[in-house]
Amino acid sequence: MDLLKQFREVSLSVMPIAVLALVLSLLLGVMDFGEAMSFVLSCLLVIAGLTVFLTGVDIGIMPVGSRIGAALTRSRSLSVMLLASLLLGFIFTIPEPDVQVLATQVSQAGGGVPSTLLIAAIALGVGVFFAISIARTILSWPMKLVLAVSYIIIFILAFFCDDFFVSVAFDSGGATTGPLSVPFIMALGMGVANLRKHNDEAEFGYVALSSTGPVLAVLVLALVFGGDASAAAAGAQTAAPGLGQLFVSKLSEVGLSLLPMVAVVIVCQLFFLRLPRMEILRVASGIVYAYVGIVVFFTGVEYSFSDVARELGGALMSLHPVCLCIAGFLFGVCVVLAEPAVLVLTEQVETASSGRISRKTMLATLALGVGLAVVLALVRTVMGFSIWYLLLPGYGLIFICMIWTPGLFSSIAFDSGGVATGPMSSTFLLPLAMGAAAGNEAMGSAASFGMIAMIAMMPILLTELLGIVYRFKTSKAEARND
Amino acid sequence: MTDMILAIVKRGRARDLMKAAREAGAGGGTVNYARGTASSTILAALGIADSRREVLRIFAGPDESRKIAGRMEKSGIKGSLAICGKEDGMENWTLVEVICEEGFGEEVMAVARRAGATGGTVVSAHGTSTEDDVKFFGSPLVPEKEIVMMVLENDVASAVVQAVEGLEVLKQKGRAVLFTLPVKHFANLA
Repeated sequence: MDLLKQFREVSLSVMPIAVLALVLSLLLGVMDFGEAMSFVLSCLLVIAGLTVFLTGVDIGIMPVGSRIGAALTRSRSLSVMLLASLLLGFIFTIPEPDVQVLATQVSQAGGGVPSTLLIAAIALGVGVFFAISIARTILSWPMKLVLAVSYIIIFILAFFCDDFFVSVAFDSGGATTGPLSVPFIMALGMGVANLRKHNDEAEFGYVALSSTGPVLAVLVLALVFGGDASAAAAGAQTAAPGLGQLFVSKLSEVGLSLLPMVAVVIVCQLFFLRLPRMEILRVASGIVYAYVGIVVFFTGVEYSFSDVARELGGALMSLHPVCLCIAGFLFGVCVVLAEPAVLVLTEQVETASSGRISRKTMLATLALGVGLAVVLALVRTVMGFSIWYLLLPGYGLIFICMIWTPGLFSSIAFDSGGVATGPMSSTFLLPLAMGAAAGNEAMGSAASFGMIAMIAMMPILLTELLGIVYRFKTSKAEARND
Repeated sequence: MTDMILAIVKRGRARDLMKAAREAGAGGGTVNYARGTASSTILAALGIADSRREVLRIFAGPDESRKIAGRMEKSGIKGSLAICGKEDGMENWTLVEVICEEGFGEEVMAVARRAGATGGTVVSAHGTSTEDDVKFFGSPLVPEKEIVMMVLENDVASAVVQAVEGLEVLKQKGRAVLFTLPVKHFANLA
């Protein structure tokens, strides 16, 4: 990857949120000079980290993922493939930072679910549904059918669950597919999809289904535990760690996240990949870059972003709820532009569609989707109504649109839902909502669960609409050619 | 005799280059995505000097091809352009193409660099299936491949061809195929 070009693109992606946050904070008097400097440093770390991470993904994680997928296909055994994908999905989810954080927040908030059990359930959900997504490609099941069936079951189960658990369930769906596992899952799926060369639809949908699994798993868990969540006390505010401390803790956290992947790659290389020396050097370099890049990225994001977001949330809320919503929309738009996995997905979509769906179009669609999602979530936080008022119409519209959306776009749509909910949204938008909710005593922080769920939902709807527009335009072009 | 104009540009620029070509009379072209390799083996191992590229191919007769190529060279778009075809006395370059198993492209490039090549372009491809091929749930399993393309001066080309043909790993696991085409004109654009 041309490092300089990558750096330029990433800087452009992160600029909007940096500038917006800085301007608003200074306007509202939320930051003093020292805090502003910390924020600028955070942004620089985010840009540097993302640049290196994306380079690593391009030369290390994506190639190895797709080669493992292709090698699995060559085994010519359906059971081997399903077992491998179940195992891989499970293994890669457990150390995901977002999952760990969510589980801790949930166990603190009450409801009687120990965090280890929640993590295990989430990981199992990912594993099972990753296997289902592989089976879908091999057995040529239509994506829309698999999605429809899964979500019907989800909504039936959700009907019997407490509001709190419904929010947590949909949140965990977004939390799972993180910046390290998404490229790997996507690449492995694409490696398998080479089996179905004339089927564009087969290239996507793996992230989509893998993030649906946990939703189902958490709902089942909630029913088993008789989900009755008592009102949540906000998580205790821990003292802000210094930059160096944060960096070191991220080194081990992300290292843990990567260890399973490295182990899998080594095992595969020894037993059946047997790539030549140059390739292995490149893959190893790639994995190292991805590791370093993500550590720097997370350090930057957690150093200052979350605190700035929380204070902004509170300040905007006290100013006027409408200001909060407008700012929330703008932040949503800006944040998604800097999400690591979004940048990976848009590139994949452009390559897979041979340029027909450009990165800019995809990015704009996602940005709009997340912006709207943030507004909806903030409105819910401010007014305190049940998440059902958003989920049911939202997913209802999604499934109605699915009738006209081309299969390819349905897969990409649900993929983008899982991808938009990444570290940027959970470390900026979620604290923003929490800061705003701190003023609303009736619901407490329980109201802020659900922001991730909205961010996971709106891009799906908008991408499907993009698909319908695309279909309309291609049929017009074809009619003209006749 | 038909010539093939082969232009390699940065990703996204093929469309503009095609517009220039059309102005000179080209009927149409075919574009595919490719990856440019690094200029040194160390950089290639570190993976930081790859570039995303597009390959544009235009077919034209011998007289038109020079006209079209000339127009493309004036377009101001960076890249390289070669006209593949036979013209006595003008064939000073050779297009060397190596089709190998996926993952072996960089090995080919490493060997080629040692023999004097400065760079190449890698394209993803896959093999074709026959009636007897093993099928897995209805689809034949075809191998994933890479095509390494290099336009080199004739003496460098011979050295590279010899070096690549001597690479043992390509014969056994790489299952590579090498062929060359004469190039009668080559220019670095812009």
